[in-house]
Amino acid sequence: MRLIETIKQKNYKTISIIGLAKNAGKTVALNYLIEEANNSNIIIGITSTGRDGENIDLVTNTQKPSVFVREGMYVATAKKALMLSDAKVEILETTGIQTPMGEVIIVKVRQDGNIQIAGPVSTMDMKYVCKRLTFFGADVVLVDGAIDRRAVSSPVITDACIIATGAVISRDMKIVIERTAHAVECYSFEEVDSNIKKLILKNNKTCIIQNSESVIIPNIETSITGGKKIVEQIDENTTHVFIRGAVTSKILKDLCQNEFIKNIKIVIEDGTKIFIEVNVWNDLKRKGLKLQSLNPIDVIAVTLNPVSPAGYFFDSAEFKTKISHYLSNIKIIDVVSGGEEN
Amino acid sequence: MAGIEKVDLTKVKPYGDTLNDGMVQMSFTLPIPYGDEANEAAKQLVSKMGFDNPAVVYSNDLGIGYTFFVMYGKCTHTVDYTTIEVPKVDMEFMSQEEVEDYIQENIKRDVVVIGACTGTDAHTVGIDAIMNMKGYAHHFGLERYKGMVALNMGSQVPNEEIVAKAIEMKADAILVSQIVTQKDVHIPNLTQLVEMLEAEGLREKVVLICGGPRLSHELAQELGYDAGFGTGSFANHVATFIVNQIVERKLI
Repeated sequence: MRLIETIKQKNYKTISIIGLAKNAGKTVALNYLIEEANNSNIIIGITSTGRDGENIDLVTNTQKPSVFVREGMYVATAKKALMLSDAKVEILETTGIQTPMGEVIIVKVRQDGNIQIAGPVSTMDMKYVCKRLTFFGADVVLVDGAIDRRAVSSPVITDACIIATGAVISRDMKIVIERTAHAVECYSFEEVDSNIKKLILKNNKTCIIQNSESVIIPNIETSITGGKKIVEQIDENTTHVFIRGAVTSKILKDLCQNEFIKNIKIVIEDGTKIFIEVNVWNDLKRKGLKLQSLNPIDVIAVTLNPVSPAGYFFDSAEFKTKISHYLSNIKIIDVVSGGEEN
Repeated sequence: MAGIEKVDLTKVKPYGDTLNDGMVQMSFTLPIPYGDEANEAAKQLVSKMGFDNPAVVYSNDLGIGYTFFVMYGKCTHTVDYTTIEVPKVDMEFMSQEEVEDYIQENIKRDVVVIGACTGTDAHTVGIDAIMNMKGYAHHFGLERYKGMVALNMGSQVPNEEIVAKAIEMKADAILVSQIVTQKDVHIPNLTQLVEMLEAEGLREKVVLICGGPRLSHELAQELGYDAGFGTGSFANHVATFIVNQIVERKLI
């Protein structure tokens, strides 16, 4: 089944596209989905957390692909970005949401063309804009994440996500694959048992759960620096530790100092909250670290860009075969030199 | 007597010793052994870059078969200066005294600002110029402002530490400086801070600012920051932006 059909079939209303690095090919992936939707008569709405569709990359000064929109689509973008676009659009609504490029405006495309998208920056505003796009008639809303930002893929905002990865991450294909697999792994930790979830949501604070029933709330301001205090309160009866907010290498390292860690499941809010380098992660896993998530994120596809703007590229077929080997349950699409086979 | 030649701002090109001579000095390294062939290769390369009369004025052996060059060439291109528009923090900047009065009248409490040079970067000139009491070029730093509590955390501060400090001090504004970084590592470092603030539910509660020679206001906003200040910014510019944002976004 083609990706766009999978999205429709699973009844996902909002999909985020996030990149593992700048120039990983998010815009190409977005254009690919716009074309696919156009061919299957699915009406889509698009918006972005940063700016997208501009011609020149602000960091590398290289040419960027523009976003090509089709008649009948819905777009939420800022006023100034709209004025730089050549697609003809009908203005449906002004949202009152301010961005660095002016107010976010919701439009319907009346004539195919290129468009620049600059949507709301804050997550709450993004949620509202997605709702409005659906209200006006979009079957599926695609949210393009800026640079390598991923907050937008939190289940609070979007139903599922597409991860864009590419040669830009490293000259060494092995490292690119490792980093991609790590990102997918962090997103798809198994969901925590529903009773535990209820227990956690009752307080919604960083807490230690004893014998899967009683809750200890440590007196800490933030989990980032609270690792040591949490560890002090863990004993042989601890079954779960819930960490609210950012989960960094530091706190996980602190937790792994504890002798009971092998019997404990660490619960996080969702995959966008974890900040850990691959090597630290692998090391801690060996020590027995186990993670679960309150809200797992469905990664419906990984898109590949075998070309790096730094002037090197991978063999497309080899890249795809190797990465498919590690991510066997996920649809892998090389959006630059192929797309999906029928 | 002939008048002095006027600059045509629609066709600007480099100035060497006469107007519009297009002279450019550049330097680079090629992975080839030092010698006449190396010089010729450098000249051909510069010519391909679009320069007329390429000349090697200095070349030296770097060892291991690499050569360093200093080159001259005449630039053949021009730019239209009159059509250039760069997005900047667009506001009337207040002086230190005006900012202090503004805080007293409109915010009525201390404004807490923390700053650091984050990630691998150890170059604190930027953050020091904005924050340190003595300031820079006759503009005192934020530490001297009445009604401001300013903490400069120094260099190579990990993002998680600055986030933890912001929570501890209930910071109103976070300033991040990035001066020298390799291979654009400042970009993922800057976005990671935004992601951590989002994860902690703090992003909407703070004024987030970055600064440095490679950060324009436009790029800062793309990265998810409220503002970016480049070279030539002073403490009162940053302070004006912070206090205005606090009032505008009702963060009082």
